[in-house]
Amino acid sequence: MASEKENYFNRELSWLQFNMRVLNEAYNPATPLLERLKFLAITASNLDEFFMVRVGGLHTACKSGRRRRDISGLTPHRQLQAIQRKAREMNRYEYNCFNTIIEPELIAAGIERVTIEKLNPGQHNFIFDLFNEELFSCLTPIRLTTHSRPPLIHSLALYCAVRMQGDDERSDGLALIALQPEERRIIDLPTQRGYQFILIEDVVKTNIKSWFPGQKVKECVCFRITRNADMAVQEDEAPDLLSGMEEVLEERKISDCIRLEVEAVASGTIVKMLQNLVNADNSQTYLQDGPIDLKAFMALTGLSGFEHLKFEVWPPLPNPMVDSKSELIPQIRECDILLHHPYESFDPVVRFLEEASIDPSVIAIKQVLYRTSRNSPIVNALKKAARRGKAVTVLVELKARFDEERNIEEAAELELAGAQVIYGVKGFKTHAKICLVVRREHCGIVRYAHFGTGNYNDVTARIYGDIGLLTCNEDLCADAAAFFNIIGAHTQPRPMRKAVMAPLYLRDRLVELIDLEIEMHRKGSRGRISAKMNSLVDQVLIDKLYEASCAGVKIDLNVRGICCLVPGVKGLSQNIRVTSIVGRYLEHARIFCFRHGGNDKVYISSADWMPRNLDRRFELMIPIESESCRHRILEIIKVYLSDSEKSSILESDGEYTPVRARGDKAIHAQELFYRQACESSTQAARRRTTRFEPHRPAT
Amino acid sequence: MKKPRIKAVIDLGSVSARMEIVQATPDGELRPLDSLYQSVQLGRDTFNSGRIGRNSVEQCVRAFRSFATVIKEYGADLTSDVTAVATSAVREARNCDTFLERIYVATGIWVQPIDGATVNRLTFLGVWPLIRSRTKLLEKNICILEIGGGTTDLLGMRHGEVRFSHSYRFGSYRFLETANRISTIRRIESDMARNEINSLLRSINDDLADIRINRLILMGGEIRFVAHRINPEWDEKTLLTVNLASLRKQAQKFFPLNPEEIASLFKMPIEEAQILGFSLLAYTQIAENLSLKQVLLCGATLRSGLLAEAGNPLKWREDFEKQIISSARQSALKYNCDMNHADCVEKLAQMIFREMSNEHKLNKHHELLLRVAALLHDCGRFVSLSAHHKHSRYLIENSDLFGLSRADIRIVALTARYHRRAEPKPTHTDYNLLTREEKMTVNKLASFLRVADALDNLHTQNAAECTIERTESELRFRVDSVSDIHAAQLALREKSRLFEQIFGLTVTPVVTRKRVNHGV
Repeated sequence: MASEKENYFNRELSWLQFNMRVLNEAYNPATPLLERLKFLAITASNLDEFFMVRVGGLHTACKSGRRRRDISGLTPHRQLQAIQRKAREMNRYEYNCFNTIIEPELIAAGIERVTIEKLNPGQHNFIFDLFNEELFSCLTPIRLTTHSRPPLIHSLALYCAVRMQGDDERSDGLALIALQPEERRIIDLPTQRGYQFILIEDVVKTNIKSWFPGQKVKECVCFRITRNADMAVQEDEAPDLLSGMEEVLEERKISDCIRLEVEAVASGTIVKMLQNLVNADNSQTYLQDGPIDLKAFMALTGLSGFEHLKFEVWPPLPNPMVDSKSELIPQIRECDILLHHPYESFDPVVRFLEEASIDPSVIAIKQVLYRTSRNSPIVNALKKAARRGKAVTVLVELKARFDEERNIEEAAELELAGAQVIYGVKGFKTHAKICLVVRREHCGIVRYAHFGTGNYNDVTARIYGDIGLLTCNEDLCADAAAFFNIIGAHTQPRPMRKAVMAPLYLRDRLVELIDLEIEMHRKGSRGRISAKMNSLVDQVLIDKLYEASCAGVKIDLNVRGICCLVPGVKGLSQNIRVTSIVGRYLEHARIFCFRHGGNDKVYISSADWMPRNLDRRFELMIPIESESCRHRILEIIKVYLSDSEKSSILESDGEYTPVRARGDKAIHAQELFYRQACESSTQAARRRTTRFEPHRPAT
Repeated sequence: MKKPRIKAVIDLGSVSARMEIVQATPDGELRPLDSLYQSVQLGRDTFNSGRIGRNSVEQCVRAFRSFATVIKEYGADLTSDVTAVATSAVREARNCDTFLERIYVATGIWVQPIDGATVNRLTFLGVWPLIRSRTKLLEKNICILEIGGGTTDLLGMRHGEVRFSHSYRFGSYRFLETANRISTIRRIESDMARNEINSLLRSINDDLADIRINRLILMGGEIRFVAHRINPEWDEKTLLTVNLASLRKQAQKFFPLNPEEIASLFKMPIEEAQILGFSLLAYTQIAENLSLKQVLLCGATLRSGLLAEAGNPLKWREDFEKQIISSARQSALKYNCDMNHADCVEKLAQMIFREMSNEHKLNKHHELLLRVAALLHDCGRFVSLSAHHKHSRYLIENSDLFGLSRADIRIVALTARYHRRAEPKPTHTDYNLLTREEKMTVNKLASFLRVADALDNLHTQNAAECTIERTESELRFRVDSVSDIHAAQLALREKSRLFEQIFGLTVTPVVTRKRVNHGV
């Protein structure tokens, strides 16, 4: 039953569907204009990464002649073909949105992209000066000749390609101008009203002849390439992970081109020249009907003075359980604290580490860092603790894709401060979100831990929907210690007390939990599974869900991104419903709930249900056992599953259709969470008695 | 108020090094903090080539370095807060000493090789709280069995008292290495396994010939693994009762699989996977051989015993002494000793030991050894009356006396050997092999035993109620019976010389003048 290829969606096409849902938000007239522009930029940015990693991986597979089919029965070659078709469609949809909806509306709202011809005299002088004083000297054209090696073309960097007349069309010359990343793509123009800007390529194109005196420039177009970034460090061959990672970063700079984007106005001749230059064929070439790289427009979404074009500001609120004026440790000792970001502030997590770093009772801090922010307060607290002589152990995952360079720098800084740094575990990525603080108290050693579904990144914690738990539960903290002992190679892995760890035990445990639900349902107790995750790809778990569905267990899944499970098919998955929320916040929490005969088992996790998470990463799933926290998570997932404003439902044909509210019961989950957070925070503030603290003389 | 202390115990076995870190409160409560585990290949080396290879040495060094790192993170001291022991794979290795020295130099952790008797003692300490919590068990004849990598340990209890303990040179890794040397063909291995187990069964049958075992408690890593499979909810803090059929079913599941399959299917290190099937087969067959329908699976480990001892040594000493004396009495009974005489000599010897406490500078443990020697001093009569003290020595030396280490047993055997006739001499080979300190201990204990034995020379136990008086030059024993006093005087001529030489006191028995009742 379950092994039939039509029982699964292809993961790449499912991802493209997800990106299409993000793009749909750019079309949504109910969304403020600059937010729509942001969704458009996010779509473009997502697509870049998708090409680098997923298309890159398939490109490598095709190149090496691999023909192994995925669970949906497609060979790598077939998948590439399908992706290219869908990606072109998506590009058309993107540029249609930009050209026909967003840009006209921006102009109407006073935000205007001006072309050279439309510049007023003042702006003209401004651009003239800018070109002569900065751009002309900073930007250097490189003429390509048949005798010299072509220059290195950087992935995702914008270039101008200049075709110069030769003796005949076949001997036309080609020069490249790299629009260096240091140069702003969007140049603000002096204006009396609204906001006007010009794109750097327009300035360059207008003045292109200045670089080529005495030569005839036939055309100048923008292009960029995307290189394959799906390469991992050969951990067995590299002398050490650090140098291995540095090699990978170098290798990415010269890897194969898997996408060539050229402005649609380009002639066939220059496109051919560029294809030859970067070794791309027609299937890899995308002619874009507008400015290349729409993610550059993300810079406009923060424009001040246009607040009416943005979402209402929802600042993260204090968690009602946390008194910001008191130390955190005694509060955690009192009860588990569940944090729901970004509605609730990430500050308690930062404070947890900051207070620990200066707490004389703290003897050790252990932390996994996967992706952090620049100048991260978390990293600073860890450095401070290490400098104060505490035993600080930090696993910095050097293999976190596209954050490698920053992580290498951070690892070096932490080491310099005296922390013991682990660069990850050979052959695996450490993706678990965990922090452990060990204190020596009067009753002995007491441990405190934070487990999360999202990264220790105070910036993304303002836009990613995640769950975190601060606890001193003895079992969970012992498991946290065991986890660090395992990744630090102090012990070989063994099942933990309460937490469940991937890669060894997580899939088995999830199968066990689903099996239990099936068994309970068969015994007459209504079986129900509710889960929220980013992606559902793992065939074993999908098959197990099909089995549960066939047994009558009701399964409600909220899968933001990829979902290879086919829902709603009679005899296979008629009891499975899959929805996806795409809203102002990125849904990132992983929550798994099993009804378990009315005694709900509730878990949070760092892992999606994907083979990479379950087999190739160190992940954690922890049970939420505190009654109030468990109840709260059940409420949270209930709201997510009943969202009717930002949810789409996955149909059995793979298409997503927007969920419609039943009657007048419209539920906007993200908004509801924010309103609830406001209310709880206000109530908590009222509950706390007013207390004045007099200054007293020092004793 | 005393602060809780961090205690770490490490058990270095044939296939693994395991460490438990606990927090010990002043009232003896232990709170587990960390549990660490590293695979090693000591069994493979020792049981194959007789020595620990360089790679294994360095593997152990790495494991212990990791352990040391974790211990230090808790601010614990590697010398005073850590107890590390090694079992047969280290003990039997020809390069045991250099290996232990290497571990110490590299990590600062001193590992103590322990013998079967100590393993039994620690096993008892670990499992005793679980047995005590099930009062019905206390009435039964219980056998506690653990099949290790190199040795198998069997401990018998009745009415809550240890009755016997045996160690067999039978271990899963020891077998594996033999099997690997001979053949790798599974069928032959399987036959070999059965032969090997049958040989163990014969030894066990001999040792338990006249004892009917009602309950069998199984311990060990393989047992814990199976117990969790049978009952995933089991928390290791209680004894898990299972039908033998369930255990057999589990054993049969693993035996046909190759180690790689077991390791991959059940996510266990290959070293453990290699021995799982064989161990379970052995456990099952031993249980079947004892005609049991059910067995009790136990989560206690050697480390539990080490922790119990480390957590509250004083509390354990008294309990434990009782068990050792009980076990010694069982051995004495086995050799048909005159128990009245044995008990009387034990009592007198202990009395003298305590009386001379300011002079002999020995400790409570030595007192215990003296008591055991006193109970068993005549066991050689079982072999022959002639030179029975010499027979006593080798019988004791080759017995598995519960709770006593090999070194302890040597002292007990020699003390018993010197309870009569010749005094210790440098020409006596076994005596000469002792350290100077051990020689002094034997001399002192033997001197007490000789005097005690002389006082009950007639085996009437009249001297049991004697009192002791001290003068500057004399130790007087006041006894009631005139006939006893004459016999004692005669015996003491031969037997008190050693005491007099060591302590400078003459030993004199005197009769208590009883009041004559002139009434009707």
